[in-house]
Amino acid sequence: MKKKILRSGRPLMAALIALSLIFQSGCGFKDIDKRIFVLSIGIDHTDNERKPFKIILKLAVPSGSLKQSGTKYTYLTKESESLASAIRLLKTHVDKEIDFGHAKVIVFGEGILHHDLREVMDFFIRRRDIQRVSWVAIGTPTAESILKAEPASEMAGSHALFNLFDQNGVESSYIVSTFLFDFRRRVLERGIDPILPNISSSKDKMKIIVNSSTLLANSKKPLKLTPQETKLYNLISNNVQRLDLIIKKDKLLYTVSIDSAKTNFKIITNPKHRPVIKMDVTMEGIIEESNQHMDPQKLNLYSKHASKEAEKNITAFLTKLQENGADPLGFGVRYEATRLHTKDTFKEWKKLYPEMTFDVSVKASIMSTGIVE
Amino acid sequence: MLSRTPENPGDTIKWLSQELKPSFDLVHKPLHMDEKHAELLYIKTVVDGTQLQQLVIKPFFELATDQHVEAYLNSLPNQQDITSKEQMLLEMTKGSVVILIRDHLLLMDIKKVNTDTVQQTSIEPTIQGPQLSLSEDIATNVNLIRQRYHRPSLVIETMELGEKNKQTLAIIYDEEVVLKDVLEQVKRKLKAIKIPIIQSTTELQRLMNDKRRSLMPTMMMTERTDRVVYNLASGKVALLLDGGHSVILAPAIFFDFMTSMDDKYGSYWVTKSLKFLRYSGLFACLTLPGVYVAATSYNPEVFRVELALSIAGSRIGVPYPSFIEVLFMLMVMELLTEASIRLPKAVTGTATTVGGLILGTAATEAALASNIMIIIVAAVAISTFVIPINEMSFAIRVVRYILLAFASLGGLAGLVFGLIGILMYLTQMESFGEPYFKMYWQTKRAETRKIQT
Repeated sequence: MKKKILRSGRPLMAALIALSLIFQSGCGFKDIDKRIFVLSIGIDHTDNERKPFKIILKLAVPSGSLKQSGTKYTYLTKESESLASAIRLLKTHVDKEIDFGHAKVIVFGEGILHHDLREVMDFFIRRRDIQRVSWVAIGTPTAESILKAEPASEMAGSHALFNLFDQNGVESSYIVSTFLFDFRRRVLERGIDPILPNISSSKDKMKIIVNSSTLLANSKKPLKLTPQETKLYNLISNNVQRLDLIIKKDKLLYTVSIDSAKTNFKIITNPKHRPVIKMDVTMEGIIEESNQHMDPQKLNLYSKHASKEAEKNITAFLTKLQENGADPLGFGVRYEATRLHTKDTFKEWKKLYPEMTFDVSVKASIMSTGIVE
Repeated sequence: MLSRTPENPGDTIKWLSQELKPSFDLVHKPLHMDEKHAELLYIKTVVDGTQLQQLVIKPFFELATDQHVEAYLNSLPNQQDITSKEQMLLEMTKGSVVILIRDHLLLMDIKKVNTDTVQQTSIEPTIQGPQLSLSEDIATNVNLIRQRYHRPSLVIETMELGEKNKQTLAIIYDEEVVLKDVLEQVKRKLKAIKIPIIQSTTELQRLMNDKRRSLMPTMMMTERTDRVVYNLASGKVALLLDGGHSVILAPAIFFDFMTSMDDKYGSYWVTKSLKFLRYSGLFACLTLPGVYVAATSYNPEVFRVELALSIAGSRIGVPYPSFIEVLFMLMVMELLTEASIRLPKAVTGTATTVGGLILGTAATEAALASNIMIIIVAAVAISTFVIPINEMSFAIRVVRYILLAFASLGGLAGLVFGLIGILMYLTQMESFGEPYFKMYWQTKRAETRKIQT
């Protein structure tokens, strides 16, 4: 018995010595306080042709007690010919390892939109430590101004830009959220165009506003959508459930707050008729505000007015998209998916899209006047 | 029954007293009255004096003749068979009295037992359910079990264990439902045990293990009679050693160790949620230290950014890498647990107070550990105690460090790898032929159905 224990003693010692090696922490092992987290990345265009990219990193500097002193931010800026080399150089500007694990917002400056987006996006797709679920947005006038803005409502430890896009914080029908993976898909796929939210900051850098969006149709000039159009886009792409409709009929002006909305569309190509996109929108909601007394008996009438108004708006919006050759809703993808595939399918669609007519039917039902009589 | 020894009875008495001579408590007492003569030989300290007086000495003086006394003594239920001198000697050490009357030797069992008080449950307390556990005397314990399980098919076999101290071991099972293979295996293993001294039932558990080094318990130790009876009814074998105040049950699988007897007494949803709580406690105390190391040193992006920042903030100034921090705090916590078990009751308070201070604020203020670390250590310590059977919680305490090592070497991926490894280890184990990790539970009713009459 004694001998057996002795024999097992030696391997045990060896194992202990081997284990003691892990106390010498190597390079793969990096503690969280030796890392600095990038919260958002901004990219601007410089006028310098040799160094076209200007990269801005917003870094969070944690402090001892988060509740009292909050998080401080620090910024790194570098101009370079490529993003990767800029980041390599920026690494030498801080004493910690730059960690992109939490970089969840990527802001493109307006100027960079004229550049080939594939090239800009490439870096973010290849880096394994940047999450594909990061949000992509456009900063006006520059990405830098957005990143450096520190809104008054921003609280310790929670980054305002994150709260704008994830649905945990603010929920608004004026905000378009685009994930990096979705953005890439839309850039590379034909038949669907990328759409990005537009962030603008106030002059004193105390406010960030996101309520419009920009369409980036391939090889065309960026098309800016107004807040109203952004809302309609969100509605018909099923991004939001809640929105409001303002209806004006004669002297009556009322606002309907929609609680649930759903949109379907169908592309009908019949050789005998003009090609048509048939879109069905169903909405349910209650009246939120009005300038006159609303009669509960006439809810059907109000609903009809609302439907008419919405139909008109949506048709106008779709026509505008068509005129600009933009297709953020993916009509082209749908066409290709539902037709027998030949090598000319997409060409057919290209020809077809400008001739399309839109048949929008909205079924709005107002459930209540919002007041208990 | 008359027992005749081949030798002269007087010589036997002489030999016996010779063997036990130097002891102060050996009593060799001749009784004389008129024509009646008898001799008593016993060890004073293990014999019940009043009972001896009542059963033997008083009738001796009251009955008329030698014959009457012998006939009376022979009819007592306390009488034991005599097989050899050596056996008589052994029985005397246990508390038997040798009586020489009319040239015949009689052996009477008049033991005095001081360990037969039934104790309160202390290791596995429950809220509902019986509050008394077992005593440390085998006869009392068998009585307690029989009182809870009235069936003629309940078999209690005894054997002696320990080459020097010859303790009595009872093998208890229900003949009708017992798993025959298990019973045979248990008996075979018991026969193979060669050990000079055996003291407790739990020691037996280690001796019956085939592997020299094992981690997970394959037999369940319990002090609760209701658990013993429930397991007997579902076909298990119970082992009970004299002097021990617990029973071991075989076979036992992993999930047996996660059941508390309260599970049978509570209402359905209460029981289910308690079970859920218990399993989440198990999972938490296994993985939390590893998750902390993985999240701080390898994969800070997995959790929310707020968490990452607050961990980073609270780690400011902590000099050592995360796994040393975790190891240090866990060690202090384990020391505290150990100390409060071993210390005399009077000093335990001091240990926990001092330890609580160290674990609580001082360690963070001295920047030896982060605030979040303290929360994790506390959560781990508390959730370890949620596991109802002690042996399992000891095993889990060890497994935790294995997982911590995996997480320190490979982050979250390493942690998952380690968990899979432990699952594989559990699934390949078996307890007396039963797969250790068998998942196909039976309902409570189905478990004990076989004995419905």
